[in-house]
Amino acid sequence: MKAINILKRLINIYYYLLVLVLIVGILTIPLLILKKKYVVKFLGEEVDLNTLSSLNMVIVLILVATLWFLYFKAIKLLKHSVHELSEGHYFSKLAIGNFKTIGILFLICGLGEIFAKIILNLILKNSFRLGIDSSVVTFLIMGLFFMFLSEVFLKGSQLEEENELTI
Amino acid sequence: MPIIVNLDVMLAKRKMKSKDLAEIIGITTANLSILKSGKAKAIRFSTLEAICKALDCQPSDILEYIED
Repeated sequence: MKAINILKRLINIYYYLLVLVLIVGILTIPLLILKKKYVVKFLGEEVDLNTLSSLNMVIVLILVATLWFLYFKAIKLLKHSVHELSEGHYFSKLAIGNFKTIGILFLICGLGEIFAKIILNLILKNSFRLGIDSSVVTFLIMGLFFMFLSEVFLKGSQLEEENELTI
Repeated sequence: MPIIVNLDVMLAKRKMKSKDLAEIIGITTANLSILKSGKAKAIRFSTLEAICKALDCQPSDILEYIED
């Protein structure tokens, strides 16, 4: 089996697991807001919902939900792009555009995680701490890599067009 | 592009149809049309040679450089 087909299946499985998490997440949010009896882990920080005011809890939930949504969107685009590549459309405009968007989304996720960790620390520990760890760096590297990959595919698309228009 | 393809002119001079030329040089009429319309990005020496042979002309009769 070709590597691209294995990758396609793997990303499909991962995507549908994320959909499942999304559904569970949407169902859980009202429970978290109403009951406030949970200690949950957001971005590596343990958050005791009892200690949070309603405003702070809404801020935390919005931050986490936004980052999660951006990540979900990036994986969805990746799924579409890999599907396109598996069909042999290596230099399609869709794949090129998607790779660039995925890169931007990963970058936003990385920077957003730094921002979210600062906010979480301010809310929970009342201290300022720049939370740069391996997951943040991975996001930034992946984001830049996908943006570069988009440029490579654009160059490939130009070469393909040139080749097709050589008589 | 400042390179102009005068294939139409040569075909008219030789009173030959595009379809016939395409058959002689072994390319599709669609590709010949791309060449005639100036949409082609490049031309192979082998294609140019075949066109010159079929139309009994020089490359300069087909290709012309006009400054932008």
